[in-house]
Amino acid sequence: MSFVSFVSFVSFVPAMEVESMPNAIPIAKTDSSRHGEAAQLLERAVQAGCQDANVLYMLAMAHKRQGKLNEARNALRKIQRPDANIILQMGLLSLQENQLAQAEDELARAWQLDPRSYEICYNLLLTRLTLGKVEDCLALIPNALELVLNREPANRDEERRFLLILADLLQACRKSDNGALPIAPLLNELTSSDEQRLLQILRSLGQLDTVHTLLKVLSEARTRSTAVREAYLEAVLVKAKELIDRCAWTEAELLLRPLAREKSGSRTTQLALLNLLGCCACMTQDFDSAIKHFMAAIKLAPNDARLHQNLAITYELKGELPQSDPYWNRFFDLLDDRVPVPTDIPRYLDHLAYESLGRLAARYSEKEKWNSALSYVQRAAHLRPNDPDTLERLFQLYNQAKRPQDARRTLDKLRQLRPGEPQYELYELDLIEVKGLNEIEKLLLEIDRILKRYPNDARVEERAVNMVGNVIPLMGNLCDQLTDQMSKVIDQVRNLPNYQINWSAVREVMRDLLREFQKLRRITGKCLPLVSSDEHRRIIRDLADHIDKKMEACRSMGA
Amino acid sequence: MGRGSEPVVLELATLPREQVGPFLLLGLDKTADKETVDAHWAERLKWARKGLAKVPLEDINWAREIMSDVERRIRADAASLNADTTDEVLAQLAQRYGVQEGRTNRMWQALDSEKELAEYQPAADVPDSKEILNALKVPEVPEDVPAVPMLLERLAQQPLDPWAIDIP
Repeated sequence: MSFVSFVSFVSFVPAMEVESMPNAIPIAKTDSSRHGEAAQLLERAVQAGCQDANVLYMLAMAHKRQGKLNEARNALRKIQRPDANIILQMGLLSLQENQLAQAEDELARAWQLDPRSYEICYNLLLTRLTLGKVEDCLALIPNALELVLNREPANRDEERRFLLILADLLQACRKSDNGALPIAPLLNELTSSDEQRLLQILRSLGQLDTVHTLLKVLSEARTRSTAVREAYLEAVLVKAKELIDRCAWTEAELLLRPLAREKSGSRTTQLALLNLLGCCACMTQDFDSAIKHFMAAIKLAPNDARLHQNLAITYELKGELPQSDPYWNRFFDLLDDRVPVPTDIPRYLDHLAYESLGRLAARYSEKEKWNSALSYVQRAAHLRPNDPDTLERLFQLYNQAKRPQDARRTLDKLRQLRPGEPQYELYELDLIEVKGLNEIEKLLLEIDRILKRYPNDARVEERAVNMVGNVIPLMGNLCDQLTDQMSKVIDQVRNLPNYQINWSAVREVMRDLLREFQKLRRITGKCLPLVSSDEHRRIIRDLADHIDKKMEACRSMGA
Repeated sequence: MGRGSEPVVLELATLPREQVGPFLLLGLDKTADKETVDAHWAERLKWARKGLAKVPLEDINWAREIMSDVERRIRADAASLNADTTDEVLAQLAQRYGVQEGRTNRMWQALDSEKELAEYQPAADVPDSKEILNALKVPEVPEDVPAVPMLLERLAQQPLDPWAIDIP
């Protein structure tokens, strides 16, 4: 026994056969290890300088069976005079690598060398079909029909019928390309098993453009077949998804739109179609159409959380936040085990619900709809009752919604969670209802006290500055009110004859106004060291100058 | 005006990336794991460089950045449309049509019946045996070592043990 035939004997005989042979050498238990060992041995032979075509071929097969496609190809390439079988193997490797153009090239070369091989012909035919080369396929089919007669009788008739049906479909495809009506006699008489096999092959082509074209022609030729129509709808959906993945929303919508009224597909296909149409419409800012499509989808699947989320988001994008509320609420209700989640993030749905609630609260806060925002934050707080950030938002919203008692309760809870947190002392000041100068003065005194107590706390400082910033417009308003009162008195004094003026009353009013202005001036003086921005400083200085002038005017009027 | 009778398609400006969301920008399902995110991101980088996608490169990188941070990802999920339904109909269809990780793959079985090795001999250049024979030069045995021919003959008569041959 030669070295080559020995290797081929031990490696390429199925394992069971080897085990059942008496006195057989126990080479290996499994196929892959046998192929691995064979490849190793053959590789050593090749490295030692053996260029025998048999050895290289066996090495390639051993690699191929282990799925090592590159190594297999390298071994085949070393064969100096490759015959049709070697090139066929190279073509098969290219097919496994999904390199269709290369596979076609190699299979065509193999076909030239051996035009009697049905295998080569069949593989070349399907490769060309996958590439959408209708004419080339049609040219090959007569050869395939001739060669199929040499196949095993068991499958011969079935294969032959399949090839004839395929030829019919391709003819119809060619006519359709030329604008003629596809007439395909065989396609009209397909049995259910014929149809099933054809659909199976078409679905397996892996080139969506080709699949889409062929299924379109088939569905036009077989208008009564629900299976064909369903397959066509599926192909359109997959193609549209591919376009959406490239953010080609308009193209996807154009592809899907003709099927919008499609009723022949299954419920799930219709659902996916309406949802995709909704997404495309939304992305192209046609919100009304998007809402229509999502609504129709929800009618088909009222318990689909994702559809409710889509509709809610569309209303938001349209700027109709309140209309999105019921769909968000339904979305939250439907967030359960049925909703698929990423496996690598634990408790995903809880986090998603929490973040969604927080986001909605923020949207309503932006629009100063405090009560709506509050209801979402309350739900978020229900999900995370001991989360200080959520409780802080809740506290602020209670304040905005003028619910001081609830705000107080929330602040107490916050203090329990974070005892000694300096910021909460400032939160306490938020509970003071500012109505006049006395409250403003009290507020500023407290801010000053807290700042002195925590001199190096940046967060306290920042919040304090914000609070003072909020007080400045109030001071401006109060100053305007006092100025208005003063202006009215001065106008009356100017317009009335001297004998009609009650000068004692005027002086009394002016004294009162002067007192108020003095108090306001004192507060601006206290306010100035508490602000940090130049803009605030400038406003306060202008206000102080204005107050000084008004005080002078009061004095000139006898105050 | 459009050419011929084809309708003119007017495209509005696309929504800002924050409203499109990282899932749609990267063509990801909301269940995508880290590996899938990275694979889609790499694929889209190639598309963007070749001008095959309508998304700018910076948006692709932005989307990946969002997806890499769990908290930001969940926040983005809350505000992003779902291209697929809860039953993942599209994902199943894509699988049925050979789409995996954004790539389409052939799924039909090629005819591949490897030839029986006992019956198949790949074509090979067989050298002419006469040429080889002529090329061989047998060294002459020196006459002053008369035992050598006898020893060689004896060695040739011994059976060869194939296991003893050391293949380099």
